[in-house]
Amino acid sequence: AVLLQELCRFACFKLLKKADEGLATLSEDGRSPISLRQMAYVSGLSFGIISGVFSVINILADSAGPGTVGIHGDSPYYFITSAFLTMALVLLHTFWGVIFFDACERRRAGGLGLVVGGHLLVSGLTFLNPWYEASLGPILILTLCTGLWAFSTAGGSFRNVLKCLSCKQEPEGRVMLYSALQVPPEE
Amino acid sequence: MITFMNNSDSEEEPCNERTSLMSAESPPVPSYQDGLQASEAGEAQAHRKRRAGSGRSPNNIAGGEMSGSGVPVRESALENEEEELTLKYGAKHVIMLFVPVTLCMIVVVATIKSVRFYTEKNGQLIYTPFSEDTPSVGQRLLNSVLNTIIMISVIIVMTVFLVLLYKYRCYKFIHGWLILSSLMLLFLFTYIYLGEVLKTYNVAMDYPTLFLVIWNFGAVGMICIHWKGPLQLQQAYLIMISALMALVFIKYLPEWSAWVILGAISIYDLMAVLCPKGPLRMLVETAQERNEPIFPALIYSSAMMWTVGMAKPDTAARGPSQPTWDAAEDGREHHRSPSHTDSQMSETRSPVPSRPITLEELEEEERGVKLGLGDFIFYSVLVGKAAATASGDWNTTLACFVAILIGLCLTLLLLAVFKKALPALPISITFGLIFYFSTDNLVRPFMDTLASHQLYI
Repeated sequence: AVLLQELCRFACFKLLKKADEGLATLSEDGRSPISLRQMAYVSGLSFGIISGVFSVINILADSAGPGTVGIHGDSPYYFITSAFLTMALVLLHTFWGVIFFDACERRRAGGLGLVVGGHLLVSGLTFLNPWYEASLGPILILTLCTGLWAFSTAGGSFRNVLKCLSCKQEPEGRVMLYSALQVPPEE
Repeated sequence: MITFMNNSDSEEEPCNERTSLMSAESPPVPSYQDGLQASEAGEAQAHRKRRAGSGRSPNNIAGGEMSGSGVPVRESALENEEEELTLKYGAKHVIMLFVPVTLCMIVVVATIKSVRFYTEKNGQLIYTPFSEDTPSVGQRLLNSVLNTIIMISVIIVMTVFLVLLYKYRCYKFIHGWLILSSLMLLFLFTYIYLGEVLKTYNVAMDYPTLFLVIWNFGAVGMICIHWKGPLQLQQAYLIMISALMALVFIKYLPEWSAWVILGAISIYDLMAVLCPKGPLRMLVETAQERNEPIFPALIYSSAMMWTVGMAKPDTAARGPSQPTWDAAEDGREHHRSPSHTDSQMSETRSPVPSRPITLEELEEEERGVKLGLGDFIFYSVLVGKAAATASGDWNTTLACFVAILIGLCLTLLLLAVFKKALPALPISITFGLIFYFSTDNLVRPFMDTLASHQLYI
């Protein structure tokens, strides 16, 4: 199933790339109105949202109803860990989307392999589930690391964050933050 | 008695209608996600000469516009710019249609999930006389197919009747019919709905308050829909009556019949709109020939007609008070009244093709897209049925919702390519049905197992 998802992500990438080229040819100055980075983010986010929603919505519906958690001997922390896991998964999908698209764009198999491997690892960790320390902890750490990696892939850096926080001129920050390859569309 | 009130009352009417029909271009949908869009948009320029409106060839004013806009289209410099403009507007229109369809579905699903009344079986419409309580599967299937045949033939008869009335200019009759049906929807169904909701939440309300609330709701609704009103209020009312209608369908159609009817309706829609002798197409063409807007109570329009903006800039400011419906849509109107006490029928149904409306103002181009209320209704029926009967609960509902939105997107895309009235039902309903059955039978057991062990893949 993980492999299927990654295949779908790849298919999405191909489709978006084509659309990007199409839009670029259509637009007046040869640049597409939406950069590949943004598309990567959006596609990752949508993967994440759908995945998260499908995972958690039945649980949410049940949590609104009468009942006791873990009455049959399961963990009483079921709901809250589900919530955290879903959050981690949504974020992870978003990050993986960005990294994946970037790796495909630059044809770096390493990035691809790491994304797929990371996905498999996370899914594998959830197999350990009632043992929450082993599954939830590493997953959250992995989310953080992947997030930092995606951030740097998208062109961000510590300096950018500082600049952003010190409320400097926005356009500059955005240039450095989002694209090292493309000049961003004019305001 | 068609109410052309909104159109015949103001002196700008003729301008409204004519300029509204002067859609020089329709907004192609820029699905940024679709790689094919690029080539299609290129072809769309070749299609630009085609009138946005089925079967209407550029004549009179439109002719002038068309040739005027035809020439620049050929120049590549302007071409790209127009493409980009239309792409930008096109995306806006997709979103503008997503929002009301989503709202309608949310209302229907929320009601189905909370108010028990709409999932109880309390009898059936007389249009679906065969019961589904039969012991054998074959019998049940046969009954549902028969029900569908009866329902579809009723719809066909009603539509043809409506088209004939329209052709022979029996406007008063149509007008009266529409008013009667919207009266029923706005008052009777709202009363029942409100009653059930209050019962569910155990809220007591006295009759005078109830009367006041329903009277105001209904009266404002009638005015908004049939006459003039703020666009958003009108859109809200149309969404509400579509939701009410969909709830009635969900309640009174037996299960298998509902699915078969959904399938059959989308096939019918496809044929009625695209075949040259299809009733809906004839309706649209007749309306266009006469330069009249199609019935106001049956179409949801996402933008306003800033018509006379050409000559009188100040009327653009008055735009908001004149939402007009353009002769782009149809009305397959259907009167039926499902009440448990049977008899009286009058329910309005108008599954309809969606069509672009382009308002061509010299100063500002405000383009809107129109979608028939019947489409809203059937989309909501699909999602509501999924919510009501699927054992996978929310997963299935969500999957159907996403499927319908995807279908809508694709339909709008095709609209951009073909630039004529298109049936909005087939693609969405097909996707919705596929997703419903596959999610319910394949995905649900999988997700349930995953969730019970808290596995995340």
